[in-house]
Amino acid sequence: MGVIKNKKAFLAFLLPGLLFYILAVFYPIEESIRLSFMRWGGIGEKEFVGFENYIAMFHDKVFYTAFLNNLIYLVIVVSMQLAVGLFFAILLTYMTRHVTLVKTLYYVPCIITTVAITQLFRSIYSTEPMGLLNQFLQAVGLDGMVTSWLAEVSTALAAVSIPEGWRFTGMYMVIFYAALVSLDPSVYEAAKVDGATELQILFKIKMPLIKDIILLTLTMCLTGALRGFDIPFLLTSGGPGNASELMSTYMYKKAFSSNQYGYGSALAVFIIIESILVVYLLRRIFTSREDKEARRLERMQKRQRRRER
Amino acid sequence: MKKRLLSVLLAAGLIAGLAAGCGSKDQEGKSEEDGVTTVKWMTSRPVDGEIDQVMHEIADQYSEEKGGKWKIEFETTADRPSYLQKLKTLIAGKNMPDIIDIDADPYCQELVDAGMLVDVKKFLEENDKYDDFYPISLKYQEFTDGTMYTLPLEYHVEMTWYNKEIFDKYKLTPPATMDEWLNVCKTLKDNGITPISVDGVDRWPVQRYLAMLPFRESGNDFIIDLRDGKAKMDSDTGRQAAEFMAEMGQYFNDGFAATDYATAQSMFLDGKSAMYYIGDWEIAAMQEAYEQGKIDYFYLPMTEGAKTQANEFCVNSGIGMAFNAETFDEKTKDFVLYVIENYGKLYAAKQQMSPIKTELSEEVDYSDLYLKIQEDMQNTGENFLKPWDTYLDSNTNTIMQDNLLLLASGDLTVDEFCKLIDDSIAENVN
Amino acid sequence: MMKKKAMKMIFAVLIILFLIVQIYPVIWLFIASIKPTVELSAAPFAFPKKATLENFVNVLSDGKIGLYMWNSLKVTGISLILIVTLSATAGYALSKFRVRGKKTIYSFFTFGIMVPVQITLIPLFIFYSNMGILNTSFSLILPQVGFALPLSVMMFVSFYEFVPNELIEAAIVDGCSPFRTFIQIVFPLARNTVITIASMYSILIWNDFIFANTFISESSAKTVAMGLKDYVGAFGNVDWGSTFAAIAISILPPLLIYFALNKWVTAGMTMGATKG
Repeated sequence: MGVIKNKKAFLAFLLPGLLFYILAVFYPIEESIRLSFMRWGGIGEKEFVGFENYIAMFHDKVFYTAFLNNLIYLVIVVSMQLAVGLFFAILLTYMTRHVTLVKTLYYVPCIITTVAITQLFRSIYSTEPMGLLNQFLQAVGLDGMVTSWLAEVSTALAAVSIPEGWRFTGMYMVIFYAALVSLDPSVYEAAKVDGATELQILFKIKMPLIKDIILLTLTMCLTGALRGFDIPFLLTSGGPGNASELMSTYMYKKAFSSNQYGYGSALAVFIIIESILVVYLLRRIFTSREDKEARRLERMQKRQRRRER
Repeated sequence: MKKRLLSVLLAAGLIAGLAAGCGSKDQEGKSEEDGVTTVKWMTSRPVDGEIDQVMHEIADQYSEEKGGKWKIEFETTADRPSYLQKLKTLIAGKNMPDIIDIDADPYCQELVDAGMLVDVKKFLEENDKYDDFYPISLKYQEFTDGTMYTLPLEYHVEMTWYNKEIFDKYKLTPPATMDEWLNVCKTLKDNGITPISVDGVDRWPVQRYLAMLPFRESGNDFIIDLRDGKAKMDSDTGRQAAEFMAEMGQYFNDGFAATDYATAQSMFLDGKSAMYYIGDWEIAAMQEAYEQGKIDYFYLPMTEGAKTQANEFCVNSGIGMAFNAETFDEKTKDFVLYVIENYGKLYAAKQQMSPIKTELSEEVDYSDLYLKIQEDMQNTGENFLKPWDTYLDSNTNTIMQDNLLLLASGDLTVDEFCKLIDDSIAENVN
Repeated sequence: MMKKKAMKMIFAVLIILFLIVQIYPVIWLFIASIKPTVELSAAPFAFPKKATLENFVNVLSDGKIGLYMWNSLKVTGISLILIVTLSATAGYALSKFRVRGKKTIYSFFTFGIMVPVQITLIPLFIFYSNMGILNTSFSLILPQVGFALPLSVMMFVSFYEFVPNELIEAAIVDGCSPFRTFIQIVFPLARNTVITIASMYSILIWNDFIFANTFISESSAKTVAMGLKDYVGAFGNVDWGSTFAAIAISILPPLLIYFALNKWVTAGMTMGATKG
């Protein structure tokens, strides 16, 4: 709860940021919503069509494919970034030397441009010339699994998800590591004395203590994955067929390749709503019972105060 | 204390203002400052490629002749998808540049219908320049109703290159008919050789195969009828085309859907595939192997009862140059005429095929391959296969290209494919 | 004790394996940049048979990459200053003031985390072209800052929660205005949050392709990420050798800065994470 009551100062601090935000984010949203009720090919006048775009959307098979794909993409990316990131952060806490160096190097993939990453993975996945992944499979005797991962309908989606996950794993690892080492050792040293195992300490003590960080990173990486665009777009542009189509690539294609700006905007509005739902659910799940209790108390006090006035 | 905050805010505002200031230019297209006319050409040609070089040379020369009173600004985006996105947003934002690059596709037709483009055919005829061009290079730029709004700067034929050593080894000869072609592919595949390497990433090379049979059967009539909703993909011709695609697809390299241009080409040049479909713009890459007698080429094979001739195949004059009707004044006209007069010779001197009839430069030592293909081009028939992506509305085209990859890899049946295309076209015609 | 040592060994091996996965690509990138294009698509993972600097000569000879990097630097620098200033002040307002409607405004800000950036392209484009500010750095800075604000405001707000209210109350009792309290007391404490935000967004903004590709078309205003597309040839044939040389050149500055400032970045991450 704040302490300063000066309203003018409040506005002076808030408004510059708020204005930038409204202009860059809200104005386009408002325009998108407006456009989602129009039919417009980019030339000539816009034509108001009511809910036609939304109706078309719910009759569009590709829309459902993209939606499902997006969920799978989400699961792969998030589990890579969080699970792998967290796992290595924990391992790293047991390291005593060269920690800084390792951390620094883990972070490096974040710095590389998408164009380079996509070309790298295209080479890794390919069969002609034999890419790294397939060379590896051959080396361990799994010749039967050798395939062109990006061209195969059943593997394309996973193949475009992995680079995105891989890219930011290091960043999340650094954040988790930072959170873990900053914990006060006395808290779990006591548990150790009481005979708790390392695993128990990890799950019963350390994890709950960094819960807030996990929520923050989960939000970052979920919304990041829902907006995921450039790697899938550059690697397969949704193909083969629509096997690796995501909501965002489909929206982009509809608006900019097919010139259906209205329909594209309807898809955009759907993505926004979808993202809000996900984040809302996340908050609900993570808000513990005590927090809810505390909030209710707070509300009751407020009401009390209002009545007193 | 408020003052201090104010100064911080002001500073921030100033920085933002400065940023806005740098590089800010007049967006209203052609601008005239201090009597200097500036024309903006938004173009999609390879940066520092032959066309780019020649156009810069011509523009500099012209500007010099006009005493610096005339200038052209190039805005080059070589990557075609990025270019088209940018062009469409510019036009949606009512900000069309003076000169643009565009194919004679349905989107271009919309621009024409909105009265935004200059009638290039009329312009050429009025200025007596129409016959300076090879007829096919202009016909390629036409809409189906015979009108023309784009000016070609290049001229290409497309052919299938083949590896002579591999062909000799299996006693194969360049196929004269489609059936022979399929047999050649089968023999190669049975012997463990990749028959054809294909760039699936860029989509258009795959789409060419779909267009082959219908072209032999009826020229471009089928695709025109298909686009207009008068023919169906689910008809004899359409199904044959799709079946051919599915059959041919087995002979493409593994994972062709994820193979890019450079990889497909180097597979062929390294002898890892026996055939490769590409146009004369890759002469420079093919030169060495051709001179060593390792590779040769053949044009589109025939079918029984074909309506088109053996010397008729895919010819194109590339993306065209179009002019903004609002800003096309006398000065621009003068420049365009100047380009037409000078372009052919300079372009041909770079060992490129010019759409404008020209004498070959005597200072340049043309290669045998260049001269041979140039001769082929002089002898092409009246009909030519026009790529399907220039006919179809962009939505259907996206759907077709996406699903073609599946059809070719055997992940989609002919029935499903035909239905997808017909549905999309029906929706568009409505 | 033996068991513990064995565990440690396994951990170390895993960490090193993962390390290889993470940095191999960068090494590959530099190797690719000294390979001839033909070799690159024929045998992308082999060591170059004949190392060549031709790609670099190609890229550097026209001098454009320098200009592109300067443009990127300008956009990244100004955006960062704005992001930090605006989110630090807005976060302060939303955390240390007692004003009605504050929570609503805060939710309004965090809502922005969920908006996909692609939807801005058409509306902002039309807006810019009406204002005549296409092809300027500002056209990129506005969306970059706008879309960075939600998360950075959130991070500042959660940092400020750790600044005891008593500290601010005491300052006000001493006659400090809210502005002075911010500049002299609160903001200096936020150093680590600033570093975290700056290090995160500098990379994202430097590498941005989608905004630049839409709002910039003049080659004099192109950024590095766009410049990488200069090596696309006719009908989609990409000169990968030159592209990788350009990539190598373009990631060198962020890489160097990152290694030089690494101590502060990770320290900032540490503090930013634990207190954010």
